[in-house]
Amino acid sequence: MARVKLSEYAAKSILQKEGLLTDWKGMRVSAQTSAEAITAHFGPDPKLVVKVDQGIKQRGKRGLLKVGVTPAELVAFVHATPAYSSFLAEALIPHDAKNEHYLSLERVRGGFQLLYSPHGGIEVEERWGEMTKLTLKFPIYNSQSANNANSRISNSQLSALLSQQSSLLSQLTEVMNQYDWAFLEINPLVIQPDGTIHILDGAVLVDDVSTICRTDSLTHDGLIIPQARHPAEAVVAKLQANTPASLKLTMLNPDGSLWMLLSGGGASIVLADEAADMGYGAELANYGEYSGNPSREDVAAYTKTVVEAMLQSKAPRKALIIAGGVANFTDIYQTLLGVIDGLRPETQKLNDTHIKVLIRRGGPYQKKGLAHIEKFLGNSGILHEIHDHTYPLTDIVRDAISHLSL
Amino acid sequence: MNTHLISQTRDKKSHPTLLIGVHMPVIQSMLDFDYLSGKKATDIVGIINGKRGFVKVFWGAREMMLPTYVNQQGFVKAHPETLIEWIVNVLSARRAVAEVEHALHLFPSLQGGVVFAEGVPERQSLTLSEDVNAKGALIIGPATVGLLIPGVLKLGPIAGVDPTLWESIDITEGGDTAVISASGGMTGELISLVYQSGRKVSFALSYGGDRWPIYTPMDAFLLAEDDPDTKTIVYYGELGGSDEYELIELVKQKKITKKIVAHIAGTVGEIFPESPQFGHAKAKAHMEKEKASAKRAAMREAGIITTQTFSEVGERLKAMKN
Repeated sequence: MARVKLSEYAAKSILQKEGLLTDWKGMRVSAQTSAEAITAHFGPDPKLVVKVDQGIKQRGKRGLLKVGVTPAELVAFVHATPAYSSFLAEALIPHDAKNEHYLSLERVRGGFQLLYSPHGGIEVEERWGEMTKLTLKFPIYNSQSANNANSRISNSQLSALLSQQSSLLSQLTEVMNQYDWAFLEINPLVIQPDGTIHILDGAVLVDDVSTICRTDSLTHDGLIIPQARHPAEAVVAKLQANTPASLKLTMLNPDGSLWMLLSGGGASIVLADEAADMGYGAELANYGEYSGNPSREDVAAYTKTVVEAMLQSKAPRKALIIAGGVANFTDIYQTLLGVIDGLRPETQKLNDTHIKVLIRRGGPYQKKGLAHIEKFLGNSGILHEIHDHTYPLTDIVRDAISHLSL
Repeated sequence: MNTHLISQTRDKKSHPTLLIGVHMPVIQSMLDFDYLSGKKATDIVGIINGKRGFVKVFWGAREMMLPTYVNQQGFVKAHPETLIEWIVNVLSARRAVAEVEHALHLFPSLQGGVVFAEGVPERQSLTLSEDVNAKGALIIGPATVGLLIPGVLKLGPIAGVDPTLWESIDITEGGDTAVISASGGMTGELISLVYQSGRKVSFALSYGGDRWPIYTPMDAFLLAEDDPDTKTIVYYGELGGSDEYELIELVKQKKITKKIVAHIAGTVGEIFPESPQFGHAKAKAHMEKEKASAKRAAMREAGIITTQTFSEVGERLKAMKN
């Protein structure tokens, strides 16, 4: 992971803590929240907005947002939206749609890239071409550099924004620096005729390797981590949390026929691409990779998890591809010992279901490793083919597909 | 930026290199490379590991000692006469960046180096980039396996740490094909493919899978363009980010004129409703133009040979005459 979504509640709480959004009074809401608790938070007879707060785009279009609700209606909306668990409630801010602007800031080389459109709101995608783009160079904390930026651009509305709102922009970029935000999108940004500003909907991506993710509780609790949708994903996520190596697994089709134990961030994409390019995308059961010299135990546990899931797949014919590029510093002998450890307990079932194991690996100590696993697979009677780094990388996917179509 | 650095490095007799942090397989593979390349001595002049002493390594079949130092300042004090040209930084993300800043400051003779760590925060990489550019050094990474100039210089685990692999890829002798790659594993794969195609590598550079590589793929292309030995460039890129669009600009402006064979991985990401995050930090399409298919189409339109499948890379290399 790299850039991770932050909940809108956390993002706005941080902005408030840093002196922006002084009047904001958001509340986190779930199916357990009562109308009374909402009234207690906002005061009597509030007019509210409720929205799903799980990092989903285009909430307006998808019906995941409701405007102008009473506490009772808000609770009813939450209960009528059972696919989601986390909501944000806010006071409704009456405004004219023509005062809705779009603003985003993204960390780029040399500064922040600013995108601005005077036509924000729900239809912004349709009018994307009217967006003004500008790179704000570091540092942009003084009004002089904002003025310099001003003179370089022709869009009068953006110049107006930059000159009137230079403090807003510098405050926002300061928060982005302080909290390691990589991206901030405000749509709509409401600028009332009297100059008052409201951030109605905000989306933030935070750099998840920054220390802020560990040290700031608002950030830490607000990270939107995709939930494991399959028990195997949960097992691998747990393994990942306890090793310096990289272990990733995403289940695509639990009843798929093409299963993969892939190594390396690059080769794993190339191999999965090949399956998709050959029209077997729907048959891909999983995507994932292990790399960074994982220990024999890590590889064994990872292998076992994938093999167990594979044995449950209802596909009539199945293949397991164990492949990767030419490793630089991963010990292939240790890796393949781990693979053997993971396969061994299921030898009988692998035999009974005629699953073919196809291996293509290269890297340090490959000769010893490949000889070892060849012996194991041969002795246990599992269908297999084994290749070293001289075998074209993606041919192993073609071989697996021909086993499936036999 | 010095785009003539590769040929200048080839012309030099020695390349004093300091290891920052200890990764024994990497260190030993650099010694093996120096030995097999026929150098009289290793280019590694010392290892920074927090204490004064020695570590045992092999020079060919013979055991030898490499000196270790408390920190970089300690090395400078002990050897003020040694002009360090390269650093290999194998420290974790938490400490890696500060040590590169130190090296930039301490060694005016520094040509460049390698940052091995994964997980360096974006903001730190970007700040370091500005400092590195101000000095004009070639710092590769973060999250890279390094730089290889066959027979001349091996910085990091690039081309592997097991010399038995070098029986099929003779990395002690240079050729005419440059390898530029986002992925460490795919760098090894491409080096191997180049040799299988009957070619040899002029240099290989893995700029790393992070969103903000300090040495960008564009820098690497300009390096290849100005390297007289390089005739062809093999490039491996992925979905995510917009580097390839800058490359297209360089090609259009005729700043890159050498033959390119490119493969952009990640079309599989497009069978998902929302692009998944793949292994490398940058490997996620947040926008339409970051998709692998969009990049491939734009590159083809600019006349860059962009392969449809990975196996086509080897075929193209074999078929191409220089």
